[in-house]
Amino acid sequence: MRHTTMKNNSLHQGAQKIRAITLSPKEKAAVLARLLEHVAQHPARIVSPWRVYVSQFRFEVAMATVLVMLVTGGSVASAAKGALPGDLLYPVKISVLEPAQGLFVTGDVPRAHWAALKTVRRLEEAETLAAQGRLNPSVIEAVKNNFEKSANEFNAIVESAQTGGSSEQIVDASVDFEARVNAHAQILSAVGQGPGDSQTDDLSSLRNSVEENAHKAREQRASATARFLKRGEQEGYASSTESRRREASQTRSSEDDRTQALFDDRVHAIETMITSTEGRLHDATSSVSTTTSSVQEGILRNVPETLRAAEDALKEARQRQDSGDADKAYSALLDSESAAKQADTSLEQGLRWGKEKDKEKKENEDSKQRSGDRQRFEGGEGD
Amino acid sequence: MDSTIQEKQFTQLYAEESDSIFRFCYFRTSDRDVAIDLMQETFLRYWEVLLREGKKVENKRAFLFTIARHCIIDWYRKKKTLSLDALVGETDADVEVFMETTVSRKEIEMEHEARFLMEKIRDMDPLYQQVVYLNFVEGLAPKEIADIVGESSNTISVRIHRGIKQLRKLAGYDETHHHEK
Repeated sequence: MRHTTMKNNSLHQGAQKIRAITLSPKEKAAVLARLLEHVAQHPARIVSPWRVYVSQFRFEVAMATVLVMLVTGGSVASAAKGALPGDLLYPVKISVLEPAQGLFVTGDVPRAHWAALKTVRRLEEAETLAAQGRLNPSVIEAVKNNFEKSANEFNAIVESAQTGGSSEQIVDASVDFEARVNAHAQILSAVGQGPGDSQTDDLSSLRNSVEENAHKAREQRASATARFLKRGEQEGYASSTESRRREASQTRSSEDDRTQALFDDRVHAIETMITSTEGRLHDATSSVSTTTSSVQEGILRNVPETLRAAEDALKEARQRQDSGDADKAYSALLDSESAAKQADTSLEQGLRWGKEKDKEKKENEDSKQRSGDRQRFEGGEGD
Repeated sequence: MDSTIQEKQFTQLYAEESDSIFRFCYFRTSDRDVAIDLMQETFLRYWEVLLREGKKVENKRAFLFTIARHCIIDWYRKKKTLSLDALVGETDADVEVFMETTVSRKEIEMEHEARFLMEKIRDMDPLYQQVVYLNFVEGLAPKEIADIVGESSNTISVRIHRGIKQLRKLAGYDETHHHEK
């Protein structure tokens, strides 16, 4: 507006030249350094923008929330929750529902789990679409971008949480993430080796990205474990809670007992997971109806091998523990846990793949039946 | 929002606005060193507001100019106390004027067109100087300027309109020959 009212060019040029008068980079940097020093000494009191907003418009927010719940709670929101890439409501899921849920997740460990959940969810969605034969290059590209975004979010949280030493919970979150991303890397590889159709050819970029992130996850877990063990040297191995630390400091023998008990508990939990996965795998492979696809067979074929890796690592953990090498025992235990979780995820997804294929087969049969009925009806009418 | 994010936003705001705040202080004081000090003081006070009140700032840019304006008035009054006579009869508009660009301790270095415009702004009625500068040079909207100087938007719109007419006349481009002053 101001430019239209001022007709004279030289005045405009003058304004432009005035705007060119700036601080020198050196002056700018010097003032910024002084400001940041002040900021570091006087950190701002943090008030959640959400709290400010709610306090100003409490009634309006309450009414809006109720309206949103009424309008979307039973219909749009629940429909969007199950939406897949390419569906009309998928953007609502990605851009509205998940960020809204994320607002209520606080603390490094819950945030890491939430980012891991979203990362894995993106891969499950891609695998469901692949089973339904609905993947295409643009959908794969969108899945890849969303997957990388969540994976990067997870990596950043874990990296930030490790500043000053890693916690056992962060190590656990890293193990969980590593196991699931590894499992999905294997699953996507099996999907890619399925009977040639155009969608499996397009999967390579996503598969490469998942493999790359699986590699990163392994490195990150190793780093989190190393930092945790380094911290443990000062605080006492596996004495992650205050009460445990107090107990551990009482006597050396009670510390050893406690460490052994924690170790045994964890070993038992992993053994249970391995046994459970073996049992379910046996049931699945002995059932004819669930092994109808070569891709599913490819996914399930990986499970026994991964379970063997879990058992081997568990055996090594026991040996290390018996020989008194607690750190290496702990690392081997995590290797075993990661492999056991990976096998569990592969089995779950393999079974889900079978169900999707069964559903697709049933829908095709129903469609053929309807088409046949229509033809018979039309033929009968013609007679 | 955690404190790291607030610090990042503060640094980002500094990167975006430090030059315009510096410029504003520079033309009001005609002294580069003073302008840098005032600009620094502006950002410090801005951070203090966040620290003390945890206040959510709607328009960060307008708020920075508001703080800068108060810093300049404080500086101006502190400087004037050295000469009590000068303080007698001082009006509100007097503390809002732009200083000479050529008679200060160190001359402001700028190109011909910039000097021409600044001299014309300085020749304007003190009531219009600041609003025309903020609108014409820094691109602030009448509503933002109203927040900065504590007047209504309508008053500021009228001042901008009259001020720009006066500026055109002073620059020798007043086609209507209508006398504003």
